[in-house]
Amino acid sequence: MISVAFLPLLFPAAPAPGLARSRAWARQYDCERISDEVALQRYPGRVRPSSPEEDPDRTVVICHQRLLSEGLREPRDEAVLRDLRDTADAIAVATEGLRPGLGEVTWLVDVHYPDGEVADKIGFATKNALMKRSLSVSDRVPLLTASDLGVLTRMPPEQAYPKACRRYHDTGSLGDDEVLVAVVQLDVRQTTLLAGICHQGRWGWLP
Amino acid sequence: MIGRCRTGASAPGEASSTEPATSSGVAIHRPPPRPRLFSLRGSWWLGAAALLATGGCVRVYQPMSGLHDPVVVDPQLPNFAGLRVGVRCLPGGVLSPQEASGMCDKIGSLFENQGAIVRTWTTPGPVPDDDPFPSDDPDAPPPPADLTMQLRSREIHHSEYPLSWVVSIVSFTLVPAIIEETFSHDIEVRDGSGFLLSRDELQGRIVQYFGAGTWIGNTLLDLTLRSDEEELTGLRANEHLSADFYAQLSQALFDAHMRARVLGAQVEVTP
Repeated sequence: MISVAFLPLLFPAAPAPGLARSRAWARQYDCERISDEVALQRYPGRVRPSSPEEDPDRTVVICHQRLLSEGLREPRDEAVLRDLRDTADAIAVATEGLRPGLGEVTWLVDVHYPDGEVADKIGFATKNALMKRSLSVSDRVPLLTASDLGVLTRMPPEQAYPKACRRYHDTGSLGDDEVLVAVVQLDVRQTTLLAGICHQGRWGWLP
Repeated sequence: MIGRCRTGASAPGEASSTEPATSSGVAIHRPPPRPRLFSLRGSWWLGAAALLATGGCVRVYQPMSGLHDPVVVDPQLPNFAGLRVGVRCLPGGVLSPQEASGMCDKIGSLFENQGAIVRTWTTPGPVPDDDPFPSDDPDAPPPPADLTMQLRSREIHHSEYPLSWVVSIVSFTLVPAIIEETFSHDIEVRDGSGFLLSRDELQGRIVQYFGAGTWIGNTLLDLTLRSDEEELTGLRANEHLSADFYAQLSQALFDAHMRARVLGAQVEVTP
């Protein structure tokens, strides 16, 4: 028991590779070293408060094991899904500044992402984030004709999305009391998502 | 400092500006000494022990956050063809001006290899006048950077685990003595107008194990059981850190580039 009590003084607290731990094993953990004060705020009851005798500048290493090991998912999907909750919340927050001018509207979500299953998850998370802000959200997705799509897919995305928005409005696919949130990955090399909104034929990217 | 790995490489607290970007650690130098739990300096017996122990040192890198995030961008491809990129490495904190300059040069090479036109500097503010971006029109003022990446580095924790040194000496270095340093790289990418496109913090640490036990054990494992990717001895810590760090920089710049592309088109295309 005595020797076990000394272990924290002998060895680094977080999982570092070494004799008993492989690099791959250590890379399964996301860790951060934060101040004692921040750790107590974020993890109440799970971090032991420092005693007056201890170093007042004490820091704490917090580690979370990743849900899936490296290599089990495509890196692009892994990056997007890992930050999905934050991304969806950020999109919902970014719409807040626009809402006063929009009035009572219904929010639609469309996702443009190469993988269908991941796209469903992105759409679900975005709708959830909007609903958490008491917004009216619909499962409907506006559609365009095949000829419209044929033209739009040959345009660069900076031009294609505003044009698509105009066509949604002109064809009546998106009503005046509806707002479309499009969540987009423009390039397969991206690990982040971009979002824009379409309302009454006007398009804007969310900052 | 009571001990250092003699690996031919820099410790995270020292400069490594002469090493190639593909195999070096990221250059950080040690900040002024801070008060420790108790002072180990000047102890002759510890000095002798350190001398013995540094003969067998294993230096290990562990990514903590951000450094081992998934990366899709292939740095062998022209991901930034024709893009004007400014790289500003701010000295201060744990980076001396020389080390900041060395790090900026490596990052500049990384982006140039991907097709970017790069300028690097180590002072606050825009691209210095003495090395502007090239312009097609000789009468026009030099164009600004399309994207500017700014880096700051800092040490956020240092521990020498004093008790581990005592136990190591008592055990004739079969039990390792340990030094641990946690560092952080703060990265910001802005567009030509100064708009903040992304902000990331990459956190990692270097753990140095001193002693015959850990050195022999790890060397034997490297020679027998471990795959190339899993090896820990020699210069592996620097190689692993560099691979993670430069991959993250490429990905951060690419993601910011995509964001700048749509936000930059905002004014022109919105009806």
